[in-house]
Amino acid sequence: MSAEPGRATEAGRAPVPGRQASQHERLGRLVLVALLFALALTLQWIEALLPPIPAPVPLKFGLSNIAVMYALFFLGGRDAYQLAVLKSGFVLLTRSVLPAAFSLAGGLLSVTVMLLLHRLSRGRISWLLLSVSGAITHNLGQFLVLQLLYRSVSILWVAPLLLVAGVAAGVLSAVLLRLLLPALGRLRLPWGQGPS
Amino acid sequence: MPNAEPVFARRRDLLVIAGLLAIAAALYLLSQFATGRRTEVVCHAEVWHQGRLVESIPMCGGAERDFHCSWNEAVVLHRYADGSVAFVHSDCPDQVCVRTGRLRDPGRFAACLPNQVLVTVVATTEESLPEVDHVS
Repeated sequence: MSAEPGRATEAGRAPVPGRQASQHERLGRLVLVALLFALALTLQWIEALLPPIPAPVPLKFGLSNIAVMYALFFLGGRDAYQLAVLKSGFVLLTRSVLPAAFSLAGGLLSVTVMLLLHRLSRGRISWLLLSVSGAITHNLGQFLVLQLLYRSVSILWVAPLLLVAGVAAGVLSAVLLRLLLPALGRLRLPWGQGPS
Repeated sequence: MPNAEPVFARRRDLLVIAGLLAIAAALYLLSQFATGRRTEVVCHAEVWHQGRLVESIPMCGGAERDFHCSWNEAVVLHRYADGSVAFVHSDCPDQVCVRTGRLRDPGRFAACLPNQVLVTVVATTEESLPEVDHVS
């Protein structure tokens, strides 16, 4: 499995750097991002059916981040950012501005941190740690927005909970993504095979 | 330097995860310590609805009472005699706000996201604050 965020490296996986992507490739990439967005929404819906996590603050497993992680690993940072923004846009349409702001802050921060960690480690960091760091920073981004909006809120007392929940959600997402890979690998990407 | 082949997990990941959990434990102890030092601070609870401050509830010197939110009677806050406040009832499906329990120390908060209500505890030097009529 090859998975460099921002630029897939396996032969035939991604457009050759420096070469202008063909219209076929661009269309295929667009379709795949749309499919991943649909997957993210489905996972959000499934998560909404699950019983809430027994915690003193609102917490979720963040299953839809699996789609963002897939985009980050196999398509690149730009598509991962695109998915994070699309997810927030959907929250804006179906809920309200505040939950959308939380979603956007968490999504953008987690993608940025995962990208940075991958690049700084020169690809040596495992998926598991990337996923855990993404989940923790997703939670952190949301609560930072909360603190920006409501100055009197202290995240110190929820920080332990955010860390523990982030570790649990990150491990769960990484395992689920690994289980989903065979199915996603059957996708015939226009620039070659999907992940195997 | 070429990128290494990515792997799903490494053994040393367990060490990193254990380190994160240790940091969580340390932060928990730190917050408990900070809580213990703040017991004498006079506070009031601010009730926010859709981003607007709609109520300030004095948390000292007041009798026990319920506060019903005017925009949704199903959302009920309670001020206890010991100076803490809590969501005691809400019609939200997840009941996260009610499970948060009593709030007493500055910085603590409880959120009812489905009803867009946030309650935060704020340190104040005033013994009492005017109550507005959004919550009665």
